[in-house]
Amino acid sequence: MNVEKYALKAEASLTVFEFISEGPNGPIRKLVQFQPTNEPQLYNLAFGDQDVITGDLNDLAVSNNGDTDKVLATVVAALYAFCESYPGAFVYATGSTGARTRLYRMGIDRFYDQMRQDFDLYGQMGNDFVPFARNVAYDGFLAQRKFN
Amino acid sequence: MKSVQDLSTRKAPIVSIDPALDKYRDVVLFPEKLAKANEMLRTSRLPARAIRTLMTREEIESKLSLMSGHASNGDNYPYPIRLSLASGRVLEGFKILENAGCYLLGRTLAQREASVGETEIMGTTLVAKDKLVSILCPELDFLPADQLQ
Repeated sequence: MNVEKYALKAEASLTVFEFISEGPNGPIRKLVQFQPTNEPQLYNLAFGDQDVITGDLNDLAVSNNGDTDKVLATVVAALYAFCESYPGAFVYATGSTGARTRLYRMGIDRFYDQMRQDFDLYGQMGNDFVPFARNVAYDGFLAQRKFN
Repeated sequence: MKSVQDLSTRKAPIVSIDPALDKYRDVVLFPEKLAKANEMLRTSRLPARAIRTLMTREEIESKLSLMSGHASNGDNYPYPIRLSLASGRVLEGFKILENAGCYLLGRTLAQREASVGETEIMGTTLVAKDKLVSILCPELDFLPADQLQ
């Protein structure tokens, strides 16, 4: 990826990643977790902030740290790292709110040209997953690393 | 921070393994997000899943031609195949996909785990290798395991 991104740390199984967003609002600790769902080999991508003092997690926070692209690029980087270790996995993502889902879609749009080389990407419309297309509203997103 | 690991020959980033994060490994950090995802996925129809197989193209073609008589390379036809695994799981509705010179079996009815025969999902320790014990095609009789080896 050519877009600048933050340094990633992870626990040994590479399902939980951490990075620090830096901007006008100070350092903000971000956590990305690939969570096993009820569907075998299908993981949910969960992402949010952690309050450094209380330890509370918040997936609805709006950081306004002026680094949206860098944060999204880092989350995509975590997806690459996760799929290197779990190449058969599907990764699902949907936002906590409609606005957050739209943000995810914008993020995929932003990195689509690169991601489509390496991932099969789908958008969820109701109960169906269809091949992802830019500028289309979806309820959720699904990715599987291509075998190369 | 214990070590630095280059995870990829391609586009995966360099990730530092930090033991301080191990405490999160088996904890659901955002439970409401996981609950929402499970609800969103509960009735959804997942796309065919690609699985790398250790079987050769010839082996798979041979097995499938025994059943359907018309299996062909990468034709993406949704063969009405049922795979029975040693664990008791049954997988149905496979397509034959071809990718990068190896054969893949992809689920069309993607409600169950797929780990087929002498096949394993690469690199993951989450799914135990599962032996294929039978392939059943509805139009044909049950094929015992010894005919598939």
